[in-house]
Amino acid sequence: MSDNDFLERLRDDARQLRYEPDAALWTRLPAKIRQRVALQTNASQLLARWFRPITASFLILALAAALSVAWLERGDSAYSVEAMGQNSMEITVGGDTFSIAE
Amino acid sequence: MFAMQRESDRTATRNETDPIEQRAIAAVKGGNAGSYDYLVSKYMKRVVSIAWGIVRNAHDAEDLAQEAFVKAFQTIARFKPGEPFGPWIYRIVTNLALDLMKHRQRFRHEEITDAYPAARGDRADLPAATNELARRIDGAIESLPEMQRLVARLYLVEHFEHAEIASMTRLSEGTVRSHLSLARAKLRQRLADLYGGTHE
Repeated sequence: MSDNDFLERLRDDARQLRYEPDAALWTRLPAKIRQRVALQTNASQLLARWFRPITASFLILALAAALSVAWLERGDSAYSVEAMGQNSMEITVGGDTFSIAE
Repeated sequence: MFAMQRESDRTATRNETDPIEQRAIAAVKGGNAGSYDYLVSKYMKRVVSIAWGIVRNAHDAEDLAQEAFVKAFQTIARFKPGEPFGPWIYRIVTNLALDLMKHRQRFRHEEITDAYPAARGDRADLPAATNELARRIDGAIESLPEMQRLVARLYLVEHFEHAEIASMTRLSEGTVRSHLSLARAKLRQRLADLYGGTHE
């Protein structure tokens, strides 16, 4: 018998060594896998459910903070020396009106 | 519910493209976890058998199969479209089983040699209908060194081809052939009374 013939005969005979578990495994194993997969899915969905609103809240807060700072800076600029220099001012003393302009 | 699908050896072994399988993979990637049932029912028998062939323990084989399917589900986004699912899940379960064996061997400080292969489970889980011939073959395969044993079992018992075994074990096809050749010589010697010697 050649090596190849030996291997092929052995292969035919060894086929019966394939594992044959108890019949209950075919329902037990899929059920366990389904449960684990559902847990994975639920966890990712839960994260997504919380993550999106939290991210949106942070974005709104950041936008509000940026707008507030911009508004405050804009308000402050009205009292700066440059702003006063750019705007003309009128002062009345003893009935006479004096104008201070650029 | 999982449809109990007793796949033929051919469909579960060969890398044929199954349109239902491809649709199921696409659906799972799209967030439909229920479509994973099809993949589990199609491949679980083979996955459990591969795991058992390595660890030789029914409980461990079931746990490994479960871990393999969960791991495949977690990483399915990386799975290439159009590829068959079988080789991928077989590779995952083979690696998990080999990792488990290595972990146990390290823990026990056992040394694997030709004379003392790793102690792995027992023969209590062999199919009930196994006859004396099969038991002799099983014993001869079990007496081989680790990688020869793995390759021999995948080729002889599970009927995978060289390229499939190479993909599952991350060995080159040449190395697989080499392991199988060495295994064949030892098996022929150990089973000479059943199959005849080399010079017959």
